[in-house]
Amino acid sequence: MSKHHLGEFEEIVMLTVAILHDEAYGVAIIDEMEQRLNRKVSIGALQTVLRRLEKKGYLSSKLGEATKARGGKRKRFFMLTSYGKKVLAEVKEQRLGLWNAIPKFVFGE
Amino acid sequence: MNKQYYPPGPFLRFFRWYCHRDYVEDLEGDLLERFERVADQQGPKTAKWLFLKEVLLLFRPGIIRSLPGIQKLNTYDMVKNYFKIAYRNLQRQKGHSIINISGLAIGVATTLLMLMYVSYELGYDKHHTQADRIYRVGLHGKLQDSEFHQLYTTAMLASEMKKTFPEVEDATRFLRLGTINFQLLEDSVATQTYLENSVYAVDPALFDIFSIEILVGNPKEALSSTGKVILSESSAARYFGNKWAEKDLLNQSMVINFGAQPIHMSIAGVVRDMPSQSHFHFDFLISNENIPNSKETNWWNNSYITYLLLNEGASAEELEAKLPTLYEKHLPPKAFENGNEWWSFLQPMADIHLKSNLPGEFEPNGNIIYVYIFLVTAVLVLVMACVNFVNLTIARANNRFKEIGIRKVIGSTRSQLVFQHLVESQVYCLIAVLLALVLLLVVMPTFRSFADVNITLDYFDYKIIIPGLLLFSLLLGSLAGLYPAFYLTRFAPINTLKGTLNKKGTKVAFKHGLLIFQFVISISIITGSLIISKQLHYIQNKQLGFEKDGVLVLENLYFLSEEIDEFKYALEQNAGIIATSASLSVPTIPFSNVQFKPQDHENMAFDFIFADEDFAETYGVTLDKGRFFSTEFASDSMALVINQAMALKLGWEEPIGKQVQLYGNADLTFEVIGVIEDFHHKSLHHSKIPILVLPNFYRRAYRDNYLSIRVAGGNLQEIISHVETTWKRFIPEVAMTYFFMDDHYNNLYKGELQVKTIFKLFSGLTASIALLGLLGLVGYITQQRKKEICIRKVLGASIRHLLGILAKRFLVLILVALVVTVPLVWVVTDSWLQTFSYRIDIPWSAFVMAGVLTLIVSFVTICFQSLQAVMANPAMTLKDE
Repeated sequence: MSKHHLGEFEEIVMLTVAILHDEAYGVAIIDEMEQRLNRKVSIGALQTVLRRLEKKGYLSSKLGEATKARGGKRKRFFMLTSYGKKVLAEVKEQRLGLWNAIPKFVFGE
Repeated sequence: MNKQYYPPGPFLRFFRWYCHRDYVEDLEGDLLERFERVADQQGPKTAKWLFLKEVLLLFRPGIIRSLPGIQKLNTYDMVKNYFKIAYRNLQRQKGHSIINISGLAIGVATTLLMLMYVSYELGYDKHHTQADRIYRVGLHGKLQDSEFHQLYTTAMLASEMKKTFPEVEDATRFLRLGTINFQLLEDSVATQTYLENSVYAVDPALFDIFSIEILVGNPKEALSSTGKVILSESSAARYFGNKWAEKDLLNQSMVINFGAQPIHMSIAGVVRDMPSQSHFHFDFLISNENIPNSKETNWWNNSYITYLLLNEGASAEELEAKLPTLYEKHLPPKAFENGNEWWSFLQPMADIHLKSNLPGEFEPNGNIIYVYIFLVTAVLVLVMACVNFVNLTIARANNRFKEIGIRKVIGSTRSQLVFQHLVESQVYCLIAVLLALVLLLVVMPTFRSFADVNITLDYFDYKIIIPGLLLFSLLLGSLAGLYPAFYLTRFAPINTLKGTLNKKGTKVAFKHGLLIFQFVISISIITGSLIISKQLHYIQNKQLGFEKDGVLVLENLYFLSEEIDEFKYALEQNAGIIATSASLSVPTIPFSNVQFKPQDHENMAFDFIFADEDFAETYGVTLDKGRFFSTEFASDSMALVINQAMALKLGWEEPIGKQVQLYGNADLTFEVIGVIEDFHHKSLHHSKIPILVLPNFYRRAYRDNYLSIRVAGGNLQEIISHVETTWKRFIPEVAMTYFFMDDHYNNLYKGELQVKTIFKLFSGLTASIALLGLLGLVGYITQQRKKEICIRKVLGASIRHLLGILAKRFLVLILVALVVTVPLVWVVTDSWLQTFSYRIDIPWSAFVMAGVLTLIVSFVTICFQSLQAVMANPAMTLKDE
C-alpha cells in the first residue's frame, strides 16, 4: 500500500486540475466538476481541499493577472507538481491493478 | 453581463473578516465571479442565497485565519519555549539555581512547619460539637490587695448555677483525684496493684456537654451511681491488652484506694481517648456520687473544676455580669469586708488552651503569645525567602538582558516577556515547593521529638493541601517573579544589546535594601534566640533558694503511713544518700492554699506544706533566723517556719515567737521558730510567695505524699536500685514511681523551652537563607568586577587588598542591618521578658555575638566566593574579550 493516501474527492480535484491544465482556478474547477460529474461542489469544500493538497505538495499555485471581472481580484491558478503527478499515477496504477485482478466472470463478460 | 449586481455587503465583510489573509483575494474573486454569473443566469435573488451559502460553507478550519492578536504560532509554541528556556537556564547556571531554589525551599518548608504548629495549637478542643457553647467557670478573689484567679470552685457551684440562671443548660464538675492505686479482682482475689494518674470524679452531664465517644457500656448511666468506673480506651488496653474489646470487661471488679477506705468498684464502660488536641485527658472516670465532699455546701472549699453548657443563643457576657450575685448570696457578708471581692468568671472552651494559665490547669497549656510569635516569624521567613529569590534573580539579570533585547527585536511584546519570566519563576517555585515537601517529610519526625509537639502529616487533609500547595506555588511564583519580570523587561532593546545599560544607581540601592532586610530578619532571629536561651539559662540556674539538682523524689509515700521513719532510716544506710525528707508537697507541685490567722492580722490565705525536720537539709534551704524543726523538741509539733517573704508581708521584723492560727482555730496555734530564705516553688513567672512550713512529724493525719532524697552524686544507678529494693521491702505490692527535681522544675518552662528549640531551628534556617542570598550576590558582584579586579592585580594589588575591597561593601551593609535590628529586637524581647518576675537585663553581648557571628560567617562566605576571581590569572580574564 502506498504511503500517499488520496481521498476520493481529493483525487477528483487533482484530476480536474490536471484536465484544466493552465486554467485551473477555483470557479473553473467547480464548473468542470459540475459539468463532468454532475456534482454540486461548494467553494468552501473545494478550497479547503485545494489548500490541503497544496500543503501536502501535490499541487502548487500562483496568482494570475488582475482583470476587470471578479471585482478586480486576481485568480489563483493551481497546477500539479511532479510529485502530485507521481502520486496520481500511482493511484491509477493501483486502481488498474485492482480492476485487472477481478475474475472475468464477475462482470459477466 | 448586462447589469451590475452586488453581493450582500455584510456577508462579504464577514468573509473578509474571517478569511485567512493569504487566501482572501483569490477566494473573494471566486465568490464574486460565481455570484455574477449566477445573478446573470438565475437572477440576483438566487445568487444572493448562493453567495450566503458559500460564505457560510467557507467558514471552516483551513480557511479561517487565526484569532487576532495572538498569533497561532506564538501561544502554544512560545509557552513551550518559555519552559524550555527556563529549564535550560536552570541547567546552565547550576550553582545559582541550587542557591535560589534551596533558599526558597528552606523558607517554604520552615513556613509550612510553623503554620502546621500554629494550626495545631489553634485547633484545640474543636472536636466537641458544642464547643462554642461550653464555658469553664473560674473564681476571682481579692483579699487585702492581693488579687487572684483560680480554676477551682466550690462543689455547689455547678448545681447552683444550673438552678439559678436560665442560660445554663447543663453543668458538670471535675474533681482531680490525682494518682490512685487499685487492684483488679479475679474471683474476688486481688492481684497486683496498679497506679493510675489521671483519675477524675465527674457528673453524668459530662457526656451531654463534651463529645466523648462511647465504645462499650453505658457510661452515662454509670456516672449517676456509685461503685462504677469508666476507663479510657488506652487504659483498657493497658490492663487488658490490645484485644480488650474481645474480653468482657463490663462488671470486672476492682478495689480502688483514694480516700480513707478502699472502695469496690466495677467497670461500667470504655470511652475513646481524648484526642491530643484536648486540654484535658483522663484514664479513669468515676461518679461524684462516690465522693462525700461532692455534696459539701461550704462555699469556702474550692476543689472542683466546673464546666457549663449554655443554651443556644445565650450570651456569656450577660451571664457573667450576673455571676457575682451568686457569691454575694452564699458567702457571709464578712467575706466582702475591707474591699475583698469574690466572683466567678467564664472562660470560653476555645480559649482555654491558649489563653488560660491558671494555677492547677489539667495539663500545661499553650500560650497565644507564642502562637503569634511563630505566625509572625513564619511569615517573615517566607517574605525573606521571597526577597532572597527576587534579589538573586535580579542579580542574575545581567545575563538575561541580551536575550531580552533580542526577543524584543524579533517582536516580543513586553507583556510576553513579563509572562515568560513569570513562567520561569513559577517553574523555580514549583521545584522549590516540591523540595520543601520532601524536606518537611524528612524534618518532621526530628521536629516532633525536638520541639515536643505532636503534629503529624496526616493531620493535614491531602485533598486540600495538594491543590493548596500548587496554588501557593503559583502565587509565590508570581509574587517572587513579579519584580524581576517587570524590572528586566523595562529597558529599550538598543541599550540592552549595546550593553550601555546603566545598571548602577537606584537598582543597586534597591538590591542593597533587600539584602539589609534579609540580614535584619536573620540577625533579629539569631539575637532573639540568644536572648531566649540566656533568660532560660538564667531561670534554670537562678538561686532558687533551694538546690534542685541531685534530688530524687518518690511519689505515693502515703502507703507507708506509720513506717516512714523506718523507711527513711533504711534508705540512709546507703552512703550515696545524704538526707531524706517526707513532705505533703514538694517544690514544683502546687502547695495547698489555706486560711491562716497570723498574730495581729486578719485571716489570710497562704501557701503551705507539711514537712519533716530534714526538709531544710534535703533541699538545701538556708535559715535566715531561728532554727528549723527538730525531733529533740517535743514542742515542735506546734512550731512553724516561715519564709522571708511572709515575714515581709506581715511586717514582722522579729518573727520568732509570733503565733499563727490554722483556719483561725485557737486550738491549732503554731509558734514561729525560724525564718528560711525565700525559695521558688513555682516557676519564675511568679515572684516570691509567702510560705509557711508546718511540721509533720507528730501529725500523721495529713499524709505525706512525697519523699525527697538528696543524693551525693556518684553512681546514681546504684542508688536508685538501692531505693527500689528498700521500697519493695516495705511496699511490695506497689510499684515505685519517682522523678528528678531538676527535670520537674524544667518542666515548668515547657512552653519556653519549646520556643527556645524552635527558635534555634529558625535562627539556623534564616541565617542559611540570608547567607545563600549573600553568596549569590557576592558571586554576581565579583563576576561584574572581574576585569576591575584583574587590572588592580596587574597594577600590583595584593590578594588581601582585593578581598578587602570586595568585602567592605557587604560588611557595611551587614553593619547597617545590625543597627536597624537592635531597637527592633529590643522592643520585642523586652515585652517577652516582662512576663517573668525574674528576668535578665537585655544583654548587649547577644547583639554583639549575633553581629560578630554574622560578620564572620559573611566574610568567610564573601572570601570563599570571590577568592576564585581574585586568584585567577589576570591574563586569562583580560584577554577574554
